[in-house]
Amino acid sequence: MGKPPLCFSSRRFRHAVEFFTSPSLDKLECRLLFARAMTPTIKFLTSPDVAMRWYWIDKFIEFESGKSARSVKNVSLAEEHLHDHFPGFPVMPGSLMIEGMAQTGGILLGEHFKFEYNVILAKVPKVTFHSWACPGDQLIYTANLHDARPEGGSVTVTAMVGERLVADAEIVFVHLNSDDPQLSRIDQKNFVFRMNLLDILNVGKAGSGEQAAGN
Amino acid sequence: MPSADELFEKVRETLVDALGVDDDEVTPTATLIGDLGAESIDFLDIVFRLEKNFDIKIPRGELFPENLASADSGFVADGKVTPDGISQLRQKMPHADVDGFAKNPLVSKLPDLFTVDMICKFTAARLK
Repeated sequence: MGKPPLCFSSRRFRHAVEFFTSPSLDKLECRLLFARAMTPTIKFLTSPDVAMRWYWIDKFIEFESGKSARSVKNVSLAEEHLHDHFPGFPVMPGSLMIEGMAQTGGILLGEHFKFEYNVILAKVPKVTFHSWACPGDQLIYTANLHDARPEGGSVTVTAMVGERLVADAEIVFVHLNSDDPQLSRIDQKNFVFRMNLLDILNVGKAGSGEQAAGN
Repeated sequence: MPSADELFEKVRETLVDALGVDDDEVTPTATLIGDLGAESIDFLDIVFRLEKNFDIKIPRGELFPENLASADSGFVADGKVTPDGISQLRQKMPHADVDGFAKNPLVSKLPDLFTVDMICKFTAARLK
């Protein structure tokens, strides 16, 4: 047997899992091979540069500092999870809609304090799903900042597709200092600004493409 | 200035919204953590809601003091809050039942100082 493959894509990852867990392999040998094969993958996936690409908004279309922000999320069938959620009836998972709403509101809160704090998604006291969003739909998240203080803040957010209300939520964030011991215990996904999320603020800088087309 | 009943009703409403509990669970003697299942994160949410519902300002640590009797505070000995610690509590939490707590000042019972009644008294004092 040659060198175990490096598996970076989810399909290759699945194939690797199937191979290494096949009944023809001795259990111990299987575990060793699996561990060897997965080490570079795990290192790669958990390295700070690549850790997670956890973007659930595509760009901002309005941003009024300290008040409100509107962002866009284009739902696409290219997103793999939609094929499983649900087979034959692809709809954007509500949990990911909450992520998008939290990213919109969290950046609004963070910007208010010039990104001085680590903004952590702490609590969703209320969320109501009125409808759903399918591939091809464009979700518009509108966040309004209600509280902003050194300990944290709160926002209300709506998710609309056209004139149709899809969801609305209240979201509470807390601020943690970088030296807070609690910080290391928090799941990375709860950080609003890690994983280069602020790149979203740069999306608009590419322009609309009209200039490139000579219009 | 609302009456005591009106104030309690509004505090009850605030806690029902913040903690997702039923109306009848919110009684004056109910403890926020033990009876109503509040976690530290909920305290910030409660403060936001009280400020909005009563149009008051609650500076950090005034309603819910932080690091009460922590290990390095010097106010704890053998799992109990020391007399110095008790006087500190009286000062920081004038609306809590510190006298009742002082009878058996176990550190583990500190969270029981946070009651619905304490919030009502704190809010009433703010509205004066």
